[in-house]
Amino acid sequence: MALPILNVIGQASNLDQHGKRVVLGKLDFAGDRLARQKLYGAVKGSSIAHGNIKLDANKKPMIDVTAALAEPGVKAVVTYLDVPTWSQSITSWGQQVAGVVADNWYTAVRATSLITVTYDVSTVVSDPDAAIQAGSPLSGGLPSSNTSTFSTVTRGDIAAGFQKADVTLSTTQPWSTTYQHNALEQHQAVGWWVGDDVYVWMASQAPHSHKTAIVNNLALDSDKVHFFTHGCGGGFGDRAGVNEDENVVVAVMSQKVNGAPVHLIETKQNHMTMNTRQFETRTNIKLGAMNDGTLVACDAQAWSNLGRKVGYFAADWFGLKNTYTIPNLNALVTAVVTNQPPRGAWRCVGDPPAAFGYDIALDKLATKLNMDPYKLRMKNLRAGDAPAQDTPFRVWGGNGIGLCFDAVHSASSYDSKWHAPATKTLADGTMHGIAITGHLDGHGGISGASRGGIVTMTPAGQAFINMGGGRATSGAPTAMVHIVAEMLGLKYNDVRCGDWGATDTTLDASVQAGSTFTVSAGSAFFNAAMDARNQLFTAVLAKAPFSTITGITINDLSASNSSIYLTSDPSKTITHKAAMSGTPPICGRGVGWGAVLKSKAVGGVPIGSACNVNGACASCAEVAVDTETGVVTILGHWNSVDTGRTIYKDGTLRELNAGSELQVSQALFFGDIYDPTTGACISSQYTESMLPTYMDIKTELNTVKDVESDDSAGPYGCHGIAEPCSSNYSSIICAIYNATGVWVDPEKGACTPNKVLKALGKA
Amino acid sequence: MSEEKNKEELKGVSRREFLKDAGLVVGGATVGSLAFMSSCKTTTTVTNASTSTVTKSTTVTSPPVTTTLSKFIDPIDGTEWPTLDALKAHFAAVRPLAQLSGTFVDLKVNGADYYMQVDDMDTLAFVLRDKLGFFGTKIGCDNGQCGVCTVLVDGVPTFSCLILAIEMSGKKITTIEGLADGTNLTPLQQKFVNTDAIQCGFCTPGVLLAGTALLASNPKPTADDVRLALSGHLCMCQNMKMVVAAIAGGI
Repeated sequence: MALPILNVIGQASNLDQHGKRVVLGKLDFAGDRLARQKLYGAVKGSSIAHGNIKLDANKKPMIDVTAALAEPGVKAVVTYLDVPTWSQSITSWGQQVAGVVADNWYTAVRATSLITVTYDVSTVVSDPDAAIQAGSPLSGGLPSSNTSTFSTVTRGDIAAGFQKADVTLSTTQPWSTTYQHNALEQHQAVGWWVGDDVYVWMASQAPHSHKTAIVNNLALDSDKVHFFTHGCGGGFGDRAGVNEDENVVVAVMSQKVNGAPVHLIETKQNHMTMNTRQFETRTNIKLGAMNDGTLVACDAQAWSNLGRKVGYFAADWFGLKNTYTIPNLNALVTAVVTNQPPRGAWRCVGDPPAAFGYDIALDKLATKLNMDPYKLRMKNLRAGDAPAQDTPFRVWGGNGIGLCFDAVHSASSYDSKWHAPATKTLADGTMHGIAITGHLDGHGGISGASRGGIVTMTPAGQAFINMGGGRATSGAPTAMVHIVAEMLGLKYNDVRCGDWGATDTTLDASVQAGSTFTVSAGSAFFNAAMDARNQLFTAVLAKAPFSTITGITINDLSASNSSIYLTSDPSKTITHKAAMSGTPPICGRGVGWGAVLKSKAVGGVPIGSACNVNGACASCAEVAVDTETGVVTILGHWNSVDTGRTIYKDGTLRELNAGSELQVSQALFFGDIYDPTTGACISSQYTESMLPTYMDIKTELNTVKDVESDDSAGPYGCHGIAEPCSSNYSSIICAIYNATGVWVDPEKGACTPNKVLKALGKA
Repeated sequence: MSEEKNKEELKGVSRREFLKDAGLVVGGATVGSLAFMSSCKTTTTVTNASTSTVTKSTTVTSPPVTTTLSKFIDPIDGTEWPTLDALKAHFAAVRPLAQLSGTFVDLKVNGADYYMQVDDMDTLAFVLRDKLGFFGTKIGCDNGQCGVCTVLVDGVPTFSCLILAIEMSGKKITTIEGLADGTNLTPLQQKFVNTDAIQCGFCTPGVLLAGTALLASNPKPTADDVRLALSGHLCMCQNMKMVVAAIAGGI
């Protein structure tokens, strides 16, 4: 789709506004505060997965801190009695129960091991399969059950649909992989008090939310809490305030030592045990189709393990019900609560584990129909605008899915490579396979939450943006600069990132999640820049050459390339610098708009109607499988993502590349390991998590493409992206099937060589 | 090029290669210290004496640090003394119960000399960050698995979390802050910016230093040369494609 070329947006030569700061080592992360003369904090995790901290006869918690306090260098100890976000109730192994402040971090860590906690131990409910059984012991996350209905969608007449079907397929997919962030920067924060005011610097995707948590938990006035964030060292999705984060803890620790600065650092084991992680999903799917491949019915149920906390992301059948036209559909999602660490956003929204389930079902159905799975998908792919199908949600972004499929299909030369399963052997004896998957998901949606942006015009005619988010997804602040520059008609380099991530000087830009931020905060900065533009244009009406032209208003002016001109006569012009000379300061403020069709009608639905904006992506994987060793080698990997409108070109492509590599890791490497008896996560170091290194990813084989579908809700047609190449996991698994003719069971872990051999009956 | 070789180069992710090269992750491209591993875990007494950070006769350009010619500064009260003996006498007089313990080392960081006292258990990473303020050196795993703490020691990429500061006396140490001339980027730093070879930025300092060392010995590295040189570094944003492309082929 050819969109009009804009002056700044989408231009590939624009650099990351923070790039120079990063390569100089000047991007400050939470730990990069205060050299010398600070104290250090460490936390102690629970050694049980389920139970309570025992109370003595006097109703005092049985936490013995005597030895820790006696350790030279230890200044203070905190327990759940001090930290409002901690609890006497334990629902997962490693849950924080106590902390130490000392003059040396290693002393603090060692002292935590000297704290003894006595527990009343309850039965561990670690296995989600066991948790959903009737009569299972309770995990403690819900009052009377381990399960909760998350969502139910019904469409058409499911019984009639299956009656009409020529072919039916029923399949169960066991639990998909559980994987965590493996962030390089562990949870850490620096906090200190000055009188009644507390200052906290922490890695955060949502600084205003983390500030509010301190305000609420410590019962402080809002103006007494000052929260900051700049750099954020990975773990995107885990820094959004879902967990009991270290913001409140470090404030309490500092309070315990009379306000002295405390640098709280979690050990890598603490961090990797308790950070949020992607949920896993088990699926039962029954599909009904005509002999020509037309889908007529689907009955689907999914269970999502949310760990110890109910209420966050769970698998949704969004992609299944919206990507494909299935007239008769039942889709049920049930959340399961277990004694495992909490689940949360994992650099992507909730669909990928569910997509993994239904993509496999579609490929199995294609085999049964003796069809190319890609052709099966194309036959049932939704129309771009399908209001009738999208009830109760008004889906927009639907036209992007077809473009994404087309992009990877063409780039991979799929038609010349696909073959029936297990029918192509390469010269070295390995088996060749290829597959394409893709889906619409909840990615990119504009948020209904309030987002704010501030744009300040300087006397030199430049603009600064003040953003109340971190640099969590790197290019996001730079994307805001693009939007502001375009709206104000400034050159890219005439707009700079001013203050960001400081709650004292910014508006709440809400969670800086890549999947929503560009469009949601982008709409706030669109409005803020428009506010500044209106003020600026009003000011220049009183300046030459416009002051001598009668009857014109700000609507008669335009701006580009850092100059303002009369639209009907561009020779009448003034630079932004001249415009601001002698003009009082200009500050534009804006609040984002909600999820509505903003710029055009869709499928007969008028502008202003409520809508969901959705992400689309497609992926093709080409693999070689060594049937003797079980080793899977990626031969080629193509991804396309619908950006609506690409705002920051280089940053977008980088994000897509990173997402693509990440999904290779998800399919072939990642996987948490839990001790079924104790509930302990025993993959709490990088080496135990089998992370891919630079040696393992042949990066040249990854190819990405940004597809622009011109979104109707986002500023300049954009919607949010992060690393949404989330169909790669499915495409790799399906490609392995195309190579071998057997389905690898990746239950509770990636497709390791051992699992491939097991599927082949060789292990 | 033979067909077989060509095919080998086309192969991407290989668990077999991963397993084969797993040893490189820790020890291949970066130097660590087993001495730290044992001393860190067995030391039970940690002095809480104040640390004297005293710099001497240097010309410091970046980053800004306290630089005093022939003066020794009490880190607690800020008083200046012309000799180390005078400082010790002052310290003993005003804080008779405190002990000056640890070891004095002469760290040569980014072209400046830092004559300072460190605890015997202090890692180089800790001293660089929390005593000298070179926060560009990151600490990730703190046990040699991730590479974000990499600095150059006499030009060799080294995990500063596995090295004790007392081992570094007289060594030439380069942190990320020492690469550029002020704010004038090196060609590799500029290429990282121009090609967007950064994402969250936490691994970037270590990767840049390892890449700089690679280019010093191999000005035109292949992509596989780069991968080997970075085998001890993790990037969990997985922005590997841009990083490899930025270093491969040289500047």
